[in-house]
Amino acid sequence: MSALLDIAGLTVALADGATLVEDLSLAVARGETVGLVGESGSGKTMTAHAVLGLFPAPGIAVTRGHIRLEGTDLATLPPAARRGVRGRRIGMVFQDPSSYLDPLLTAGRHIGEAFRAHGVTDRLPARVAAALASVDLPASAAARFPHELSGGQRQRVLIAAALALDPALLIADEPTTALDVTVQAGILDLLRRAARARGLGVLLITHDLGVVAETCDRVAVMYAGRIVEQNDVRALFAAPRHPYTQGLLASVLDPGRDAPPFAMPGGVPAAHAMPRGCRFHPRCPLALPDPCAAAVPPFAGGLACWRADAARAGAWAAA
Amino acid sequence: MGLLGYTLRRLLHAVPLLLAVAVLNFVLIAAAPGDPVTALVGDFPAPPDYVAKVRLDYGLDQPMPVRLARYLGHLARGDLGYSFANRAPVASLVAERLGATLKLTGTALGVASLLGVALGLAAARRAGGLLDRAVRLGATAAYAMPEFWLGQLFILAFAVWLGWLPSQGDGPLRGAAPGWAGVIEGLRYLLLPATALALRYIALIARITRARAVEVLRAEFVLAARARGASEARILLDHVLRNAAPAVLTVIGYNAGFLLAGSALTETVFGWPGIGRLLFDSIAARDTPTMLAILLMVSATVVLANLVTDVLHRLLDRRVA
Amino acid sequence: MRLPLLALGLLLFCALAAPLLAPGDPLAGSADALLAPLSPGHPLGTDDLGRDLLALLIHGSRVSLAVGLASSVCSLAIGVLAGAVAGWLGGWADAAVMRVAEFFQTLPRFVLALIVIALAGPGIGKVIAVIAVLAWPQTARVVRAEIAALRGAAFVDAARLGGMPGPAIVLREVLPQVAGPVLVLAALDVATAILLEAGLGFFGLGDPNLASWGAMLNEAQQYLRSAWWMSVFPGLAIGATVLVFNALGDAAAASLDPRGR
Repeated sequence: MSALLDIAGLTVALADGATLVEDLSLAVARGETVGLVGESGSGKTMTAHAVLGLFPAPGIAVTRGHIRLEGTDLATLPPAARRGVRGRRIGMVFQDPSSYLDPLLTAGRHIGEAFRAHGVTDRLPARVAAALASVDLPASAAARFPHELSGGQRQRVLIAAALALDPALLIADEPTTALDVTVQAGILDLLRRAARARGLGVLLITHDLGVVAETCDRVAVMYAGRIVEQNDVRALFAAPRHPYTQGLLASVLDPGRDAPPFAMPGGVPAAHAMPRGCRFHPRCPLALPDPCAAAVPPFAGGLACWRADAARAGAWAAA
Repeated sequence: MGLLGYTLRRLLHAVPLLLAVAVLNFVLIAAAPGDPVTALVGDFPAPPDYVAKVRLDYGLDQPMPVRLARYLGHLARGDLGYSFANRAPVASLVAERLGATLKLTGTALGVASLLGVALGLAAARRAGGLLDRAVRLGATAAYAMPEFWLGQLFILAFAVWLGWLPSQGDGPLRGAAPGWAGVIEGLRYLLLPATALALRYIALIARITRARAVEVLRAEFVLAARARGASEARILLDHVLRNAAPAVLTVIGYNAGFLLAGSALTETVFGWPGIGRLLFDSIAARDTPTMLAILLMVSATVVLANLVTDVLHRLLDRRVA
Repeated sequence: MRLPLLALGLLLFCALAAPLLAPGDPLAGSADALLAPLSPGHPLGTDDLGRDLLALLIHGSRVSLAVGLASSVCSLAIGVLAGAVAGWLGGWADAAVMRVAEFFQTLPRFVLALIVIALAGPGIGKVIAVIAVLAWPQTARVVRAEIAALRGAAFVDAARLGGMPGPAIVLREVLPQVAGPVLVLAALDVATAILLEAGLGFFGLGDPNLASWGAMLNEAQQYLRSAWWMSVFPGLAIGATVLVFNALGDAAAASLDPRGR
């Protein structure tokens, strides 16, 4: 498989040097949907922003690594060329569709903006109508303002705008988190169909393992700015190897299980207070003073854990 | 509810306000020290038979409610009284001066809106940068300066010392030159008073534009627009300007009263033959009918400006309930 | 915050110590120094009546500050009372107070003040009263909004359950909470009032027995071509004083804004 998106050794840092993403490597192939999961604060969204070259606050920057899209290193592109990639080669869908739509612009203007940003100005109404049709919205939705649409419809408008120029890669950042449960399935189904029909590579960012199981081909689990485990979705769900992954999976509600869901103790450390060694070791039941607290575990064979052997039996069994 | 319905309801809302303003005028006349007829006639040796006629007309020998009704009746007929200082009906005096005031305030407001919005947007684009700090400092300073003093400074600098521009009046005394020369001549007279009047509004508008624009630039929908590849220029025009517009418009519209007050002061400094100058002269001459007519007119203008502002606000932002 | 406070202190000192800083009657001119330019004897020159401009300026600060501060305190009192009644009682009292406030906010402040003073005759007390009567609605709105929002707050409920009577709750528990935003408004009100008073003076409606900056600019208007100092210095004084109060208001607002800290 030739990689559509190839991230290698990516580090994103604040101006004072604290890292939000560290030495992250990840690939997305054409037609493949890759899930990036982790708790909030794990650096998933920052990874997406780094691929786009847009950070939500000043002072955040990519300090190391490559981000190659279709063979071109985005990090070295001049700003104007980088802007040409956004919206045209990479589409992005965000978490809360109500705050990511301009309240004073119609749905049609949002989709039209994507076309106009890349110099497409002819037959705009027809193009907008086609984009709306591709997300199962009627052409009349173009004249609606965001407050006149439902949450699901808003997300469809954002997806239509993201896919308007037929990009190669779609980044979806928690696309269903802010939506009603009943609407979520429809949006996920839409994303799946769009990916299949267009041969789209999708980077799906979520904390919801159910969403991952339903939509993804591969999964990367992030913790505190690093990828700790990466695998085929079936294999990962069947046999999670990293203690963190095991904890995450155990904390999912399972109606078939009698026991209450497991709650992993502790929380993601702040960017300014990263522990030395394995960043998960303060929360890990298997952690040893050496090597876990002393050295960063290398990422090898889809896993970054010093205690891989011990974890095989289930890290949280005793807990 | 549609825009038309809203406009009608808003108009209905303005009627009691206008009525209250008229009643206030009446109260001022009634409460003025001395014989109320003085307030209606002015401090002038008016012919005794005219004074007697006014007394009868306004029912000054009648009880209060009758007097109020008579007064409102006169207003409703467009009768603003007679100015003995100018030997003319007040309505025609005011009408004569209206054009000059509209020219001055209109120019100042137009220039202030364009420049204020442009400066505010430019400052917001690089918040904390050099231009931003310069705009904020300039706005803070300009906002504190009384416009009539700025006018005097302009006269000192550009008329007295440099001798570039005229300092008094709205045009040459001996009639304007024909064609473009006349237009340019007129602009030379307009430049100083309009700038003096505009400066505080530039400051005011730049401040609110900057504040709103900084907020909008942080909004998530701007990030989404960037993710679609929209250029910064387009984002400023399509998103920032549009979202800042309701607040900016409100500030402009709701300061109509201050603009007219500023105009009165500026006209006085520059001998501009508008309503403001008329007000100054009528105060100096204790010409009460003219004073009260101007108060009524300015109040009505403010009520209408607020109304127009609210309707436009609703037009710009359909979410407003 | 420190710089504007320092400037305020200086201004207050000027106003309070005016008779010491500029002894004698500032309104008494000397016929042998009419329109005299800047000189060691008259650092800021003299006016058309031979009065020392520096002395006039120092004494003029008393009028500006008195009008600014007194009218702001009065409008604050009216506004807090009206806003507290509207916000606490709600219902028709709220509606009535807000209608009246709306009416007063519609009135063109400067033109109305001009005409009232023109009819009633000049006098510093009248100026203060007129400004206060016209300026209170904004304070009332802020107080009303804050109190209406606080009415259901837990600590207010606790006080009510503790048997504290309504007015006492407003006075002891609620008003301290709204003090911040109200003080910001008060500082800005002082600035507006000083500008308004200067405008009245410029229109010739100042008290002829007091030195006032606005009145000085009125006189300067006729002598722009011969005595620039008559215009420049009083205007600077007004601008600087207004700037100080605006800056105080802005600084207070910034320190109240949780995002700014």
